[in-house]
Amino acid sequence: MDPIGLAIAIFGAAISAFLAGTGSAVGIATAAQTADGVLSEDPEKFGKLLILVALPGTQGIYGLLGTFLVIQKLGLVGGASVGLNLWQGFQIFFASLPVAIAGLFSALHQGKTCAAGVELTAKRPDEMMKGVIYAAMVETYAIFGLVATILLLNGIKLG
Amino acid sequence: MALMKMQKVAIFFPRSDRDRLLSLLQDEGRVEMLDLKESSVAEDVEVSEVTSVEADRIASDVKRAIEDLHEFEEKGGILGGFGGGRVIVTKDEFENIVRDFDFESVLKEIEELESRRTELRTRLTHLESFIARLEPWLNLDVPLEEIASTENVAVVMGSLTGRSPQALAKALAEVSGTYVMEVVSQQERQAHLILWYHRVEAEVVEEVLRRNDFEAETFEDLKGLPGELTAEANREIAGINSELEKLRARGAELVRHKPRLMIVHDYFDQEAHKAHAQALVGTTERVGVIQGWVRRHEFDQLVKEVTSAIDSAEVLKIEPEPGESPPIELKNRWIIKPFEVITELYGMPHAREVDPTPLAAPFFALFFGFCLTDAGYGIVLIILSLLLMKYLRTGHKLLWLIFAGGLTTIFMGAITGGWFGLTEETIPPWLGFVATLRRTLMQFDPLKNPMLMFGIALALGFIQVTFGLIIEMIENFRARDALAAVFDQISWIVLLWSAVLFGAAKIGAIEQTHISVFKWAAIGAAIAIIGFSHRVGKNPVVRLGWGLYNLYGITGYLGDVLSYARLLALGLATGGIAMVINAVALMAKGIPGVGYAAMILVLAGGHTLNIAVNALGGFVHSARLQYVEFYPKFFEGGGKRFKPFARELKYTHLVEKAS
Repeated sequence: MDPIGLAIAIFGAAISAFLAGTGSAVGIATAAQTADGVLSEDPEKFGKLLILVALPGTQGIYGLLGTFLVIQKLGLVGGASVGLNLWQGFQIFFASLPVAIAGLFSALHQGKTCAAGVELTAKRPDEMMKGVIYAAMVETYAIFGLVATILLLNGIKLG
Repeated sequence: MALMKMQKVAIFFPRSDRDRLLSLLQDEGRVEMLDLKESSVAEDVEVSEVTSVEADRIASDVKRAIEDLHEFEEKGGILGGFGGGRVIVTKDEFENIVRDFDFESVLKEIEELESRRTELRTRLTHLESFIARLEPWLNLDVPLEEIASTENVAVVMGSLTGRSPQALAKALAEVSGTYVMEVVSQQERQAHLILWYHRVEAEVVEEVLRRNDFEAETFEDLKGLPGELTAEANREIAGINSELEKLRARGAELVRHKPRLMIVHDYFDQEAHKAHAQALVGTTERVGVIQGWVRRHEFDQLVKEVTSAIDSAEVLKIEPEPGESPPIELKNRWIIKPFEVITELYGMPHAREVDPTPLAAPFFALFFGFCLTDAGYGIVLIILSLLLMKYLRTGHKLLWLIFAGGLTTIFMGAITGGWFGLTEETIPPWLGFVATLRRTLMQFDPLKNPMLMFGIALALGFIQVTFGLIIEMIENFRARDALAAVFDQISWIVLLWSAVLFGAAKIGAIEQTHISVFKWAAIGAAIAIIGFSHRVGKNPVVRLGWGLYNLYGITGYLGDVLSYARLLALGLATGGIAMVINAVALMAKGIPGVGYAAMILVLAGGHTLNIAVNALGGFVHSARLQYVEFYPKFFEGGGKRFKPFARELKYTHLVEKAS
């Protein structure tokens, strides 16, 4: 049992919620600001635009899931904490990076794409879902980051 | 699985019946009218231009009034933004209201009310800034008009920012012997003061003031004490506010007219559409003609409707012009119908290809379930979609889609043990039957065995990608292009499958007895692709070069299949977050006093949010897999959607009988 190993693993868990969550917050802010502008002209569009505004929020959720998976792997909740050495701590840290970093950048750029989608919806409300689909293209790589993190965590042998 | 058969028609009618016919077509909504200017008959008939339409103006006036009233309405909370809030009326009621309702006077009153409100609010802002301006001078006990320059003495009022009056006094003392300064008020960084000086010293004093950034202020037209002026302004503000309050109350009273205004708006909006449709009617001296498309099976009905309303009208079937293709409407059985939403979103197929909807439907439903993988959430979605169908009058197609997604979600949830994110340890004892049910149905735990889930996701992807190739192969055979079918699709299907089976045999996942068969099949298929995938041109080097490049396209297929890995991540995200919500709820239970309330709040709020976010994600990403990975294998698109000339009501919903 190496306390530094555990600390590094927790750093990994924390960074995935922190980076992906930051990205989501900024991404949503970008889309929401544009949406506010549209609402000033046409408040009826609130429901429609909400989807586009909420979309960059998913990366934060993926990041949170990354954190959760590490917590589960380490048995931090429930007290049955597994022992791990320094290198295992690093393994978990590195395994957390894909969802953290891909989540961060994907959310930032998805926010911009969603803002453009908001403008699309302002002009042609019926085409809203097309804007959503394009924005989802950007999200793909956060999802792949999460896939990588899940598979990497699954591959790490502890105990 | 098909496209609706369309019939091109021409309707001839006495010119004087034009408006009657347009009303009829609008009510029945069967005919998409074509622009005669683009047709070959254009030379023989005159097509009227519609420039300005009175109905348009009225409709937009009424719309503005409705929006003005919006402000006075009782707000239905934040959810008010979601519902359309249509007025439900019968056709008779609709017509009665249009006939009897004196909307002009209501419009006038709303307009006057709004302009008075705007006026008052402008005055209000003005008064507020006036008060703010006077505020620093409230200490002054001399009427403003008495602070005036005389023949020999000049006086200035103003403010000093960032510098102290003492410093200014010192600077003035250096150049002037006559000045008098009175500080009226002093805040932290700003002082307001009055300064008297002899006109002889004007130049030097003003120079000092400039250097100290003294900002002069003039109250030329004002008379009286600042305190009195402020009190007066405040009295006026109170008056304005009470008038605004009265206007607001009056506005709230006027809200009762809103449903009727909505009906009037829709009436004039329809009239405007009809007027614009006149531009699509061709006329000669006596006769009018309309060309358009109608669903083939509705043709007889159209003939009956038109001829029974207008005796001398004639409806004829006509041939489309060369190169003209009919507008597209999808036609599917009830079980596939909801999935048309997906294809409609992507774009319509062109007239000579298959409707991809039924081919994508099972995959879409399954993928949606994969993204949620929680039987509890599936049940919620089903209940929710049924409830919404009961209360909403539009969007049923999408709701049925969610219903179908709910079913697959239950299935996926059951086999992966997802029940509101509960686990063996967190299921409370009184929900013992859920635990038993969960154990019986559960095949594997994706959190413990993500590799299996990963494999299933990729396998589904592999199946859908080859399925897309098979569809294109059949299309090619139908179009009698056997070469394309063999070298562009079959060779790829053989290559992909034999490569996968070879790999599986190599790592021992399947028996190795046929491993050499797979190997040679893959090599053979690759050679076929290199040699024959580029079939134009004679130069063998160019041909092989293109062939090699095409073989490189295998990386595209690899990317396509890997893209389905998202199903694993989205599925785990739903289940994982559900577990996090439960864990937080359990912690909330520990809060003394409000434990159970807090727990219920966390559970209800958390799971609602989780369902909403993941249902949206599930929809979007399942759709994307169809659009990017599946459709391009066989689907061209580019068809124009069938859009019959019909009533398009914005605020109302017409029903047969009053409910």
